[in-house]
Amino acid sequence: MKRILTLVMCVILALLVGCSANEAKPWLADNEIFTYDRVDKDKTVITVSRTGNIFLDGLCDAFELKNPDVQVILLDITGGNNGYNPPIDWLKNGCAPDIMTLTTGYLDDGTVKEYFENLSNKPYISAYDNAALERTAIDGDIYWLPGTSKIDAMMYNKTLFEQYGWSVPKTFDEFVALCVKITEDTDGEIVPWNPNAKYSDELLKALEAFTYEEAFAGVDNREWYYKFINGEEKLTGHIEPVYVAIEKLVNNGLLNEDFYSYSATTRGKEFETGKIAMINHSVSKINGDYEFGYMPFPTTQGEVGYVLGEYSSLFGVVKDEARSKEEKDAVERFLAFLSTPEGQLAYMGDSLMVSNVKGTPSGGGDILLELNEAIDKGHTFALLKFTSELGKANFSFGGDALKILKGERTAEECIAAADADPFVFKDSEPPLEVLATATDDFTILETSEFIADMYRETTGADIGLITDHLAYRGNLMRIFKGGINDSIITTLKPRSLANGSTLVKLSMTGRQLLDALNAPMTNSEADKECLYAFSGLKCKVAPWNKLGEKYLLVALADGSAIEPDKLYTVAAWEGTVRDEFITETLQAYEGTFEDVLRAKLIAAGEITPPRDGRIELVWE
Amino acid sequence: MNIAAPKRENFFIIAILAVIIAVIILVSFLFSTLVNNYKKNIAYESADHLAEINSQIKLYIEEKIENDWRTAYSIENGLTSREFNYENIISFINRARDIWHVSNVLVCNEQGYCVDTQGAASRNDVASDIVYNARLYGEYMSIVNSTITYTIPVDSKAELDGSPIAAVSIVQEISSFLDNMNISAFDGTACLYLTRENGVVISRLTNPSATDTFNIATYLKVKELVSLTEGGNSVEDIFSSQEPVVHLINDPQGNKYVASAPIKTRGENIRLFYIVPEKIVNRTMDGFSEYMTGLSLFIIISFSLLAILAFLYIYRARKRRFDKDLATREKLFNLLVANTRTAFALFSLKSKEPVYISSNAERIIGESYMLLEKTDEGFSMRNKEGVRTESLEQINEQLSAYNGKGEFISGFIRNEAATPPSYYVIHLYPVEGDGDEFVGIAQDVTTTREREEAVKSALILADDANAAKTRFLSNMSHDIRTPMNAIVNMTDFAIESLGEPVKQMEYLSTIRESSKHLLHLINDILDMSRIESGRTSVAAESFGLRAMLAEVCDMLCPLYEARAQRFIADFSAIRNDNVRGDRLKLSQVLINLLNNAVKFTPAGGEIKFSVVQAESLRQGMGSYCFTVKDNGIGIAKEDIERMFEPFSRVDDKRVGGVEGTGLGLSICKSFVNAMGGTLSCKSEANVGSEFTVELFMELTENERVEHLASVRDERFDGRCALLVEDNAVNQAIARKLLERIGFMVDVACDGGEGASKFLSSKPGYYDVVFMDIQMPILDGYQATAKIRSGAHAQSGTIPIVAMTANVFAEDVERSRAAGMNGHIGKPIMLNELMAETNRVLSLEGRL
Repeated sequence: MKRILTLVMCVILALLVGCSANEAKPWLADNEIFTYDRVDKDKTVITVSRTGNIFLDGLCDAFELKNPDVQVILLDITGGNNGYNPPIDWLKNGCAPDIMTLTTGYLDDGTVKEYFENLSNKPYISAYDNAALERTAIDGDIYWLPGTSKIDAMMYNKTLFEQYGWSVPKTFDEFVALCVKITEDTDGEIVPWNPNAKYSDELLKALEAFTYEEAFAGVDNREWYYKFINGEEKLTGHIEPVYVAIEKLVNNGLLNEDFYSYSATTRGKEFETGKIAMINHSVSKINGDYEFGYMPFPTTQGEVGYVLGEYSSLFGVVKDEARSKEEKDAVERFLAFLSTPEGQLAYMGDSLMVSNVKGTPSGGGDILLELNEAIDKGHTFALLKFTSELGKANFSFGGDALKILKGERTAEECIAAADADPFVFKDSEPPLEVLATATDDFTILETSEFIADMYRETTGADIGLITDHLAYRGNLMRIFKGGINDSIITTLKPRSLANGSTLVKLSMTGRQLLDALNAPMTNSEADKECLYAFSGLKCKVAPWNKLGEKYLLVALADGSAIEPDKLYTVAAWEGTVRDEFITETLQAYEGTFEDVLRAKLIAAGEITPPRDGRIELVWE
Repeated sequence: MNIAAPKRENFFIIAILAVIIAVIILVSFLFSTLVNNYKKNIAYESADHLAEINSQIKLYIEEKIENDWRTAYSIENGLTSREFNYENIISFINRARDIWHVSNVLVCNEQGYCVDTQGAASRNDVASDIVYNARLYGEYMSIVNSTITYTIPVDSKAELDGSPIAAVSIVQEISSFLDNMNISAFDGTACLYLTRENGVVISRLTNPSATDTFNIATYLKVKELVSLTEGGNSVEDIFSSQEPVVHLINDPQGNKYVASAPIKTRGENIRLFYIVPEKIVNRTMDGFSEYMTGLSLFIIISFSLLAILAFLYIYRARKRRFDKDLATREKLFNLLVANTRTAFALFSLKSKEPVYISSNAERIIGESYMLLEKTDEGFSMRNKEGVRTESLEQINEQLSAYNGKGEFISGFIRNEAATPPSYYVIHLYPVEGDGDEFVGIAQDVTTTREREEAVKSALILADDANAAKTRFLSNMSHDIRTPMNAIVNMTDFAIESLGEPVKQMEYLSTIRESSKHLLHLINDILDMSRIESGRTSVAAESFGLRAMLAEVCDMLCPLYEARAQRFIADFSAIRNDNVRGDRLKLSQVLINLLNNAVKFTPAGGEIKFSVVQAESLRQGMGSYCFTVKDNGIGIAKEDIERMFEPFSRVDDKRVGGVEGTGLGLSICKSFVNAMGGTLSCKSEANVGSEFTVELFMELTENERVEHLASVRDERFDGRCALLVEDNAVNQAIARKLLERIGFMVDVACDGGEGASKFLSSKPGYYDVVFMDIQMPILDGYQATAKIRSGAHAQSGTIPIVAMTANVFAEDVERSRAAGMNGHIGKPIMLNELMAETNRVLSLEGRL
């Protein structure tokens, strides 16, 4: 009897160990592709996520070089929007990485204290500038290591400026005039300025910078601001300069609706290729055919513009009791390396950043020369988000600008409306309407497959395709169990989709289909290792194989072979399949991604992860 | 073996160890307590020391801050006291910075523009916030990134960049005054922190090896704190304390003292922490503590070593003694075992081998290996080869009934392997109750068994002897009562027949014969008694052999004549007649043999009595063979040996009427043996018997041979005898007899009187003294000695004759030794009286 009990206990123990081992290695999951980099089984693996405009490749590469026994897997976690914050879901659902990097404001203090380790007593804390630590501290404790401080300014194409004889504007009016002139000089070929309005903070930064001297700088303005966020002041009578500036931008055609959905990546590429003359951006070096310059944001008052100083990122260690001793050690080593000047320089790369680690030289020193005057004048400002203990702002300058642009409201109406209901007070946010419910957590791959299914079902095509685990026009999101609302739908939209692009039904030969699978649409060489998630196919896939060798077996969903010369209909979002693999675009479907997805979810009401065995992942 | 000794030894060792351990523990405890007290006192001393240091630093910082405030007010006063232009302001604040030793001075106008000592004018958020806060709070202090900014609102007409100056701030790097502090007092290991009220470190002065932290409160929360001053042990207690407090941090990486004190400012309160490793602070005090600890340790170790050495010495000494004792015991035990008739064994039912078997086992039980086993059928034993021997069969047959409790004792078991076969008994009993170990003992009982057999035989013999005695007593009773019957009744008849002399003579003759017979019987019994008690002695006197033989024949003559028997005596072969020996015993033997021959030879039979002197190789000795042969009834062969045993009488119907004590032949044999000779018998039933006495006698020459016959008829008329006798009857008899032979008799009633009478008599009055032996006052020996030692003229010569019932040879010898000259036994026979009297008087020349 004892022997039987012992055997049973051993089996249970083995199962538990086996389960925990599986849980400890999500990059070997049956229905998820955590990374396209081959994971070395002999190394200790840690995961680091990035959200938003954070670049960690240089840091991770440098760390791995110094720590050959550790492999770092980088994860992209979609940033979300005001209504939905995906990193919280990753944390709450226990699938967060070892180290999470976020920009400020993503998580409230309570969430941070609940899910992140207290780093106050870590030895590398003393490497940081105390003021920087204090700024990230929560109730006197350190949960975040401050990344570098970066400077946002206006970047311009110096080559074009010289070519067209354009002068660097000193004031906001000069900036507006210059934009008009650029349009005129280039007959609209060159967009004078793209504010990256898709991201509300980006337009906010520009608007605050333009009007900082007039509306936010100085004792009186700051007194007003402090009183306003405490509910003691109104916008009316003070904030008008901002709306005047908005009206000037609108009236001079410097803002248009496209900017609110314009791909940041596309925007960047167009700036690099001379299609955009100026962009507001964190200062960094851009190598290309053009020479680029840097100028402070011109202001509506005074001749010396402003630059924005902000923290690029925060590094936190997610609590995880199951983390092994080796993994804990690797995490500590990673943070210790980050806290050295060497790690900081690796992290900053070519960007103009100021490290908060003592003894680290600033990057991009020559760039700073062009901004020195503003910095010397003290014209460095921190973004005011109009949030306080009362709650967060119930208005946004960018949103109001869109309303003015659309003619929905005048400036005065916008100000009045904001004054009427200035804050979304804590605990009073109305819940968003749930359009559908996920019965279970989806992996990223399953989410991609769900979207591919949606493409195929919407178009009636034989096959649906979407690049998986790819920021550029692919899917990075995972749907978590629970209600799905419009905010989640927005975050599910692949980034960088071309403006006006739609869902299309393509005609591809079998050969083209196979070639397309082995050459997914990516934005850069660095991204090309990705895969298409699919619908209507049944494949055996080796994600860690070289591109071209990843699809080990491709068949139709019913198991029948792909015939090279046979035409198949393939549903994909426009611009996500390379043109050379398309025989013909059979049909385009009206509506944005959100529209299509919304209709699909409402129709379904309840969705489940597509675990139909369509893909067999091979990790060896 | 003494099995208690090892237990006492173990107890002794355990007791010694226990005492040593107890003492060590006690000493350790005392020293530990002492050291702990040292440490505790040191901790409190150190705490006071640190609190003092902390207070000094606190006062220093507070003074510095107050100085900075005064500096700020001085600058503010300077700014409001006169008008300034830009250059003046720059110059003024630079001078102020240099004079007051501040890091920077900011002058801000109402628009948020400011200038500092570098002269840079800017409009920035910092300046705006300074002015804003100055408006809001008046004077205030902010601490940012290790700098303290003291801001005072300025109400001045002076302008900066066209706007009135609104506030002035002096910026002081905290490190500028922290650096002045000397924390090298503790070898640079001290760490000094200034923190906000929530514990966030705003400035630190640490060493490279110090554990750094962003928040002291967070750092302390994970440590165990012990308050060494007033207040609690929690972090909250530290931060709520308004007085300097000192705590001890129990840290596995090294304890630390943390001293904390609030710093009073005019703005945000800050707190001072001073952290120093305990071992550094305590080092000085620890010197004494370490010395005491070291001393304590030394004493404890020394004591422990001494105790251990003492223990080892005692233990080894005792062990040597114990081993020696053990070896001696073992040797003794083995010796005992080898020489005893008991074998020992220890068995364990759990063991397949005997635990112990003594070396003598094979000798006693015939097996050197025995194993006790217990099966369902009970206990049994087997030898090494498992061979079933007769001995084992006997043992196991008895063991089968044994239940393992109590003692098992076997019966006699025969050891066939021994030569001759021996016997043993097995004892078996459990060592402890009903345990698995048994002690076995095999005891050689051969001797016991033989003794028992001997006792059995002896008992049979004793029974036989007892029966013989009973028979003898019965015979004696008969033999004594028979003459006594005659004496008693015939005496009555004689008294009744006073007027009838013939009848009276007849009766008296019968009485006389019966008395003689009775006397003979008593003499035989007394002789046998002396023989058995080993008191038979042999006299050595010269006598003529033929004369002695003639007397014997004369004595027997009436008897064989009465039975018409033919008596043939042949002494022709005697070559030497004069011999020395025990005439009396020899004649007694021969008379006895001849008397038997007469008695057991029918009337008309023939009796031959011959003496042959053979050649003797022994110089001066004669070898004589006396033979008495008859043709009587003879003796059965099986009765010949028993015939010489005392108190035995051949149970022969043929001689039912023959009188006898049954002691005669036994006495004869004893007498002959005492004289160095042999008595043998050849006999055949109904044919006859032949008794032969062979003995050596010393040959003598020219010796005077006494002839009683020559003096037999002498009378002693006119002579005077002193009779010393205490018994009145004997006195009367002796007097009558002495008077009958002619003596005048003077009587004394005891020895003393006798001696006195003689010694007081006239010389020549007494011719002879007849002396009884057992008497009051003085016995016969003493009285004789008194006479002989007296001053009387005849003391040395007067003949003294013992007249006593002590008739044995040693009695005679003792009488002579006492100085007496003769010996007459009781009852006094007249002829013997006459003969002895004659003899002594003739020896004295009185005849």
